Amino acid sequence: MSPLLEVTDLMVSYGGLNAVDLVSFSVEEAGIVGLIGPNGAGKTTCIDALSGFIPHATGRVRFAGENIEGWPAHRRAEHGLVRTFQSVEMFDDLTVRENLIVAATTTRWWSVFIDACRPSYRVRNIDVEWALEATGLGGEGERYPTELGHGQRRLAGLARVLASRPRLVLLDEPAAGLDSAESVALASRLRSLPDLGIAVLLVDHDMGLVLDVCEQIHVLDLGRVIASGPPREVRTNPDVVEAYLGSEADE
Amino acid sequence: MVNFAHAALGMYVAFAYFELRQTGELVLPIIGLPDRVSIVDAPTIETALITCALLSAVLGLVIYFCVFKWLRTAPALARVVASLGLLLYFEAIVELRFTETSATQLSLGSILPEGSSEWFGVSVPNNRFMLAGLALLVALVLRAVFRHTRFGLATRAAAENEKGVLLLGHSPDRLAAINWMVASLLAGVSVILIASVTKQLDPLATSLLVVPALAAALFGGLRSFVVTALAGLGIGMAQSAILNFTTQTDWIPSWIPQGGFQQALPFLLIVIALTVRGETLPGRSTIPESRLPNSPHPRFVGMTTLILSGATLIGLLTLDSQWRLAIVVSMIAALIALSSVVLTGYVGQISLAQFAFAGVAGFATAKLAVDAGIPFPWAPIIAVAMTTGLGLLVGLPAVRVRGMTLAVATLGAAVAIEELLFKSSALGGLEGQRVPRPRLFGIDLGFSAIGSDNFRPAFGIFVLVVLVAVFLAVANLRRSPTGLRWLAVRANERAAAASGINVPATKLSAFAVSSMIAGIGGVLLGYQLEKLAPASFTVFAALALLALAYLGGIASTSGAVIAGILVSGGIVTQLSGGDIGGSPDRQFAISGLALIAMAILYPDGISGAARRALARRRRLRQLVSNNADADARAADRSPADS
Repeated sequence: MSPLLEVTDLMVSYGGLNAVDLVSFSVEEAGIVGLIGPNGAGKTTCIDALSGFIPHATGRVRFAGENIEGWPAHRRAEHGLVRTFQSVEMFDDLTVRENLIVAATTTRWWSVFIDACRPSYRVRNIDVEWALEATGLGGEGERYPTELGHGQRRLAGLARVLASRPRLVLLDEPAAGLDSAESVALASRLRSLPDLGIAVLLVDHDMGLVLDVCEQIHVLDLGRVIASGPPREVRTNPDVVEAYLGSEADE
Repeated sequence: MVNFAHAALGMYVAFAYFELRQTGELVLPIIGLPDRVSIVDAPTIETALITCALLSAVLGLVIYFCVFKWLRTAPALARVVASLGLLLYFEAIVELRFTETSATQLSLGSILPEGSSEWFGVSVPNNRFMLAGLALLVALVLRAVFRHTRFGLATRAAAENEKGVLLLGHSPDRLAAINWMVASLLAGVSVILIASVTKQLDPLATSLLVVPALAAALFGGLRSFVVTALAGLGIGMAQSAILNFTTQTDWIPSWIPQGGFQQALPFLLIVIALTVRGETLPGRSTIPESRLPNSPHPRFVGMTTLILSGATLIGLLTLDSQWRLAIVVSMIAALIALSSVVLTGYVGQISLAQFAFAGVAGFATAKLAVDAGIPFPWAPIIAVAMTTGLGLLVGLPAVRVRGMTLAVATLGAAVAIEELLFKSSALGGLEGQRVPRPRLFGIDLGFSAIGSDNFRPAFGIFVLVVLVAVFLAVANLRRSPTGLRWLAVRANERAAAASGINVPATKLSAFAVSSMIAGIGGVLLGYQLEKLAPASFTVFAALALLALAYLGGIASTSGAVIAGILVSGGIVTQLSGGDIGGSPDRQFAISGLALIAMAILYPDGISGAARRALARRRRLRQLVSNNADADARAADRSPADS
């Protein structure tokens, strides 16, 4: 069986600089794959390109049996390839539950007319409630994102992508700014996603979380994959150690 | 910062210049200060020019420190509204403090030398070349200053990141103030020069010079002085060429008004500039606009509608004809304001073209009924459908831009529609187009009647029914997934796209709904006036209505109702007996100032401010009753203690 997501020679360049340089990897159905690397390695650019936010990205991207390169972001999301943002990016004017409803509903062009006559949220409400429960936000549905603490806000961002019942979530530094207890709780939630049939591509520069959660890890540095493999191999790979220590020594 | 009042400021200064030249008195633009101060008896060109240049610089400074300093981090909409307030203010002040400026007055000693030379067989006055040369020279000087001085660098940096500039030891306030002074000075002097060359100075037309000017600025990417100056010159030359061309050829259909193409050109150029430069989604590093007014979940919709419409119905049936007129005017204004609530309030797209859409529907209804003989319910339905299509068409390029730029583009569209369509001789030209009375199932729904029966309640009830239907539809949309998607796009386009929302399609749906509502309002306005003329749907009325909608509360349905009540000629005017704050011009001036104050103090508008005040009172009452309980308990306990 072919993998859920198959990326071949992904390339993003700005001016003369290759932010992502011929990156290839794949994510299996219900797999958890980590993408790590020091700051500026091209991790977020990778996610932007895969989720359709960089129209000029080149390379082949196959998702669930379809070639999705050139698809706009919303179409990829509708097909089950969703992402979170490093800075969460909730819809601050909507309650947490409404944020999730936005992600869980699909509309057609005639929806406007139906909605003008009937003010109900015709929603697969089960998905919204399920996503709230799965992230432990069951009691926070009526609150506004700005009223939540940082950790809960991050969870709300995760809940929003889960509410669309995705097949693959691209998580952009989900643990950034979390304290260690929150980070541990997040890790256990992430580990449970494959059991629900959701594959994960986890991007972080925090090795701890990624090594803990992922089955397969790719290490990026300056836009290139410098190492791939299961956590224990990557941990001891000399190139990885150098990329990390080198960059940290510079800081 | 895009200032829609920029040309209006220049217009005011030019008026002041010619007045100064003639009477030796400088007219001050601030209500409350003396109207005019005497400078010298017979000022020369130099004295007058320098005085007025100083006046414009000072005005720029005052405007910055009184208005825009407070709006530096405000949403684009608040800044647009403030500059609209300023525009209204300058218009009103000019009407208040200057008498009609005649052509003889304008020819008072020309500033640039007269004389002309022959170019390609066409005689061109020399001063045109001097003006063009001057514009280019100024652009080059500005370019040099902003490229090579610390001040220029710091200003450019401040436009990108104010905090960073502050950390580097520059005061963004001082930088902004200096730039405002320079910009205002240029606006003042250039309008003086233009007026002295063209021998024309019309308050409205001059203020609208801001449209081609902004078109040129957009071509320069709001960045390049030289490109902007060249684009400006290009637009001006193209406009003259078009005028020349259209007067000489005869294949252009005669119904297109003279000067229509000329005036529509800036819009076309804006569209091209934007389509080339725009992106359908903002990039990662785009600084998100700060938030628009909060859009509350509408509550008690059924009850509010019932009470309001009941009161309106009673008013229509019992009050006299002047009151009936005021109620109808308010209802129609509320309807058109609702279209802004959808597009601007819910989706965050600032459109200044809604009133023009209303006009298109109004004229189309009249045309369909009179020329094609289509009977009542069908003519307006077809007209509204056409308007919806037009809204989609205008929305198509607009989905690539956001914020201020969109406001400029839609203003361009409004001017183009007004000049090309409304002034067309096929639509009655200046005399106007008759609108036949609506009639349904044999019932006359027309507005006018003879004697005290005039302004018939039947029409009022018809308008009320339509308004309630549209009001409920908008409230329903706000509470539905469609409304949530609109608000999601407004809050964060990137996150919306990541949540599976097709952002351009969502914006287009709002453009369609909004122009449909505006169209319905335009049809009703046509039936109310019974005769439509270009003056029925001016760009200025459009600006005033958007400003009122903002004042009422742009992001809620109740805001539209408040806007309708406040509209000039509406219920508030009727309540005040029509003479609140003196002459109409004085009223305009004061409402312009009120608008600026509202934009600074209450970005949520009246309905938002009221809602917050209510919430605060509820909290306060809770606090008081809690304290009272505590006091009571303490009192209970105290006897036992003693």
